[in-house]
Amino acid sequence: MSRSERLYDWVDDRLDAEGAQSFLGKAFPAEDSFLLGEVALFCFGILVLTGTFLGFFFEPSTTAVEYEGSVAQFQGEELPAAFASVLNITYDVPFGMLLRRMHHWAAHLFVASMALHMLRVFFTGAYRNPREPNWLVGTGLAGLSMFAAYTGYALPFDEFASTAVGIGYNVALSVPLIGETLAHLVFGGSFPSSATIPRLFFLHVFVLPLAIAGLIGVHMAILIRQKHTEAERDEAVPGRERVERDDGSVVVGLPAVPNQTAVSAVVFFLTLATLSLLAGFLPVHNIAEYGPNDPATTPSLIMPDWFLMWGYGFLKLVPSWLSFDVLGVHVSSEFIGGLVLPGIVFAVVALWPFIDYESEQRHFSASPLARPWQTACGVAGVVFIMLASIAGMDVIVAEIAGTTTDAIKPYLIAALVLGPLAAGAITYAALRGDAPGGDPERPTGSGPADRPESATSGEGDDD
Amino acid sequence: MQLRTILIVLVLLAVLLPMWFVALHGEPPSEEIEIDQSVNEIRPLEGFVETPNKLSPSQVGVVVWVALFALVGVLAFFHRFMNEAARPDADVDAAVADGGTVSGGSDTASDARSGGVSTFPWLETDDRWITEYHPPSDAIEGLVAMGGLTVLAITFAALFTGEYLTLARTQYFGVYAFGMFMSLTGLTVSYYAWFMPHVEVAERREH
Repeated sequence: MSRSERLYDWVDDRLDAEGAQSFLGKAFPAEDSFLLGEVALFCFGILVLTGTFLGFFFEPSTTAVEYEGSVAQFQGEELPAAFASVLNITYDVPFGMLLRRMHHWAAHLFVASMALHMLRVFFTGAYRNPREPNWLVGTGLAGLSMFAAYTGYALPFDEFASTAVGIGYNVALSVPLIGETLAHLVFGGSFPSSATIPRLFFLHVFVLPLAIAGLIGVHMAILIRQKHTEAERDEAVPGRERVERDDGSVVVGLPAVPNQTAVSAVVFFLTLATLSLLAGFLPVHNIAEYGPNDPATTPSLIMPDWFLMWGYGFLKLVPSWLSFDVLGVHVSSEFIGGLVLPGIVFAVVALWPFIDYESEQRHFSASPLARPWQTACGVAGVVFIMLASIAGMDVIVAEIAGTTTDAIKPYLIAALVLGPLAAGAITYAALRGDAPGGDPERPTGSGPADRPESATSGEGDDD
Repeated sequence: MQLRTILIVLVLLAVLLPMWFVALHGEPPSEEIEIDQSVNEIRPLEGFVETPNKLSPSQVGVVVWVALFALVGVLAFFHRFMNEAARPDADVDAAVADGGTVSGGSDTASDARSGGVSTFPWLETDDRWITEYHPPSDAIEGLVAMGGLTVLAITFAALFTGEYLTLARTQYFGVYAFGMFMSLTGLTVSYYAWFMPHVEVAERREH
């Protein structure tokens, strides 16, 4: 018996590896778009690794220190320790600039790939019964990831980010009754105080990554238990047991080991290659250009990260006269634009599987073309978020148009109300003929329950 | 692409493109940061291509979405190549498509061509069975591709290490790391396409 076999036996005796071995064969349907979740997963792993590297050098403090690094314009100046340490990472630590950029780009790619993953799930109806719990977990992950990116944005304590993060402080402060407590809890007092950076640092490197990792674990556990949705099969699948074309009680795909593992390795390497190229050539948040936080000045351009731009758009568009008092409690326009409206958007997204509720289980992904009103709502929602994001960039829009932000505000409000309605109506009108029963030659993509001839094929009673 | 799909894509582009147009106006060009070379020997800003010195969050948004779409496109290409392009003609394969079973011996697919297909022991259980099996082609071009890509991966890794030990220029780091990870991608793709059996399994959801 070789050493490796003896080692295997030793592990097997203690952990019953042999018994758990069958787990390695789990089926993964081979769909290109199903790999988006893996891109997000690997981005999170890269964020943890690069973040660990950055953590060795970053100082979460606003205490003034004399800068002795190589950026000429700051040499000999008293700078906040956080700002100085990020300058040090960027310009004086070998491949510090690359890894800092990679951390930033991975954060942006994490949010973007998660958004695209959610859009894929939405438009193919993969959130339907029995996958509502995982949709809720995914929505929670999206919210936590945005908050994690927000807390990281503030850490270098530069002028641009501090000003942008200050918007969040004002929004937190605007919450009726508990605003001050909430702002104090997250920001450690009046923003920016000496406690702000340590508080955000703790949230950014411990609380939020732990929460995200936990939710990813739950997401994966539910996925493993319920197994993937599957694209429509072209025909019945032969084998030891014949799998009918519309039999949703069985999932067909690549085994986890070795085939899916190899595909995942390709996703991993390609994600790293993309991030390497971005980090090599494009800066993100170049703090030396902005200088340290200066309460006495305001940068000419203030904006949050792109994935929060739609919420910023609400803040810009909600008129101040919307503020009101109820039983002596003040409800400000900042609260409505900064938290109520984004909260409604998140709530609608989270509750969508219960709006588009299915009593029967669905294990096949659907064609967006066969789901007119759902696809119309999705298109309207995407257009709504994009128009709100344009509103968040109203300063730039006004500059391009050669006018003022006040002058374009009515047009942006009109676009935000009418644009999604028009987009949804056009989409619905285009797809109406494809609704189940509308075109008998088109499959609905929703599994056996949509097909009368297969209503007894076993769907609905599994899991 | 169906007319209806084109129409929906046009509706989305009618808002997406103006949004990107506005977003790209985020930051004007700025001066390069001046580095005092007497403090440190590394040259993180040195490179061979002029790139922006700063990007606004809105510009970052456009860049990252374009990068994501490109990544998904490349991923889809490789994924299909792995599954189809290098796969032997289905007609001449020993595919498990006739209702027969595949034995779950302890050996890998070494004797697949001899008719009695052995495969990984964890693939078949009471609730899971093999529906498709194509043995690897073991083609010589696969060996050539893997050999070339191995040399490339080692070369890029060496260049990356060399850069770390000398000037630590970020653009060069980016290129070397990109080359290394693309070589590793190619290696994995080549191994999968030419030397790994293509297996598909069916599995009961309820177990």
